[in-house]
Amino acid sequence: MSYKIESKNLNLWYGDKQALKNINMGIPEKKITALIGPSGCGKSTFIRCLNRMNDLVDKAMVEGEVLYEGTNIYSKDIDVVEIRKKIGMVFQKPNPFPMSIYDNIAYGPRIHGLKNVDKIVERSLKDAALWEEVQDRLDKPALGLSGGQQQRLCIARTLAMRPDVILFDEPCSALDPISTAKIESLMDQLKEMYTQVIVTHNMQQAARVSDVTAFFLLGELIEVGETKNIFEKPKEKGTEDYITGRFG
Amino acid sequence: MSPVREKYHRELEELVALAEDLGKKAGLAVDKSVNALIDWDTDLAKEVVNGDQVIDDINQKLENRCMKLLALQQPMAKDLRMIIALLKIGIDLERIGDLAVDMARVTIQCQEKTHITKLEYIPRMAQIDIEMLGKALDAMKNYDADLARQTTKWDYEVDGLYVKARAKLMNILVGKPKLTDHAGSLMMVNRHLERIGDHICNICEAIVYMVEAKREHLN
Repeated sequence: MSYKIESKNLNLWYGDKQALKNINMGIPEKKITALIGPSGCGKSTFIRCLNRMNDLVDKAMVEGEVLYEGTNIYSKDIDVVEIRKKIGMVFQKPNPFPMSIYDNIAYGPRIHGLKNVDKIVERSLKDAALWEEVQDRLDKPALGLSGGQQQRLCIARTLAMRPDVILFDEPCSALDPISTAKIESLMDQLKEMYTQVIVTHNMQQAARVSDVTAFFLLGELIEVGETKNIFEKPKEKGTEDYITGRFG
Repeated sequence: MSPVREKYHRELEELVALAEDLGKKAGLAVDKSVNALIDWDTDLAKEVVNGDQVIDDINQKLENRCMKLLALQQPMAKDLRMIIALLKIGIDLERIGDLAVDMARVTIQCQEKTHITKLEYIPRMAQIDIEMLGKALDAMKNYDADLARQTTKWDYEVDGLYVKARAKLMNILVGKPKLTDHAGSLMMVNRHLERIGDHICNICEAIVYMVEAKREHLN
């Protein structure tokens, strides 16, 4: 299997507390990888390592490597902005900018001096399955959209930068089942072009959308494998106990 | 563990108990139907026919409970395998009950209550089937995949007896055409007892899947 991103001996500390312990894991290209595990297990910390979002956290210290297409993104000569352009992120709570729908999408391309911004906006909204719903009100405030629409807007904003990889940190936790279904179908459609990683507390969601699932516990990667196998016949007892609710 | 999850796990255990009850009743129906045939006991045969509704009802209850847990608890891994296995086991057990009813009807419908030949293979097949079923239910209750595997070995003996009984009945059919009806009925009983062995092997396969997540063909 070809990996788009690979972590090697990855450790992370928040001050004295070690949040990730020697994580070795590959993120397969153009597949959806789900990260599951109880709160505080390190899954969000891990996904944030994949585009150096933890650089923004005080006292976070990373050791080991995260290889993106073979290059360690923690090397000194790496342009972090460029990495985050290639490896975009969608957060738990939709966070549109307090500006129009159009400007939300156009913001990144404008900063990077891209041309044909109109086309980029249209294409991104279409790819995010939002165009039909907002094409008549592109100049209206993005904050007037519903939660589900706002989240798809954030995905469109990420897509506008033509990333390679999209990281989703619990993207549906604040959404109703209909909006959740839309995001999930969108992820399925995006699979043709993008490598995706999703952190989710909803195991049914992980089972529905992902190709590969990784189970984290107390900062360690306990098991990673094909989603079908993880949910039907996990190898590790810890994984089985967690997904069958026999935990704690 | 939260009380809600504890209740869910208790409900899973109750499913196994329900399947065990279903299995015991199906086994008893086979035992009674063959004994009814041996002794030409019409009352006992009628008991089997009338008792089939109970078996059907338990199976439906099992199915409903499985569906409820699937819908409300979204079971995963071994829990999911258990529910899928028990649904399959329920179908096989209910079918065994139906075969017992078919065999009991032979006793009820046969006009001349005399045997055309000594029943030597049929009681033995029934005995093995019932023992196999008992072992299979033990394997299910104790999550014992090895016992399930061992149990299926007995099916070879059932199959061997089936072939012998069939040859004997064929000889009667050829030599005494007047006994065609009776010999034909015994042929059906013989075939049903062989099929019951196969259903028990299916149950054992489901148990192996439930315990070890392996799909094995055991007969």
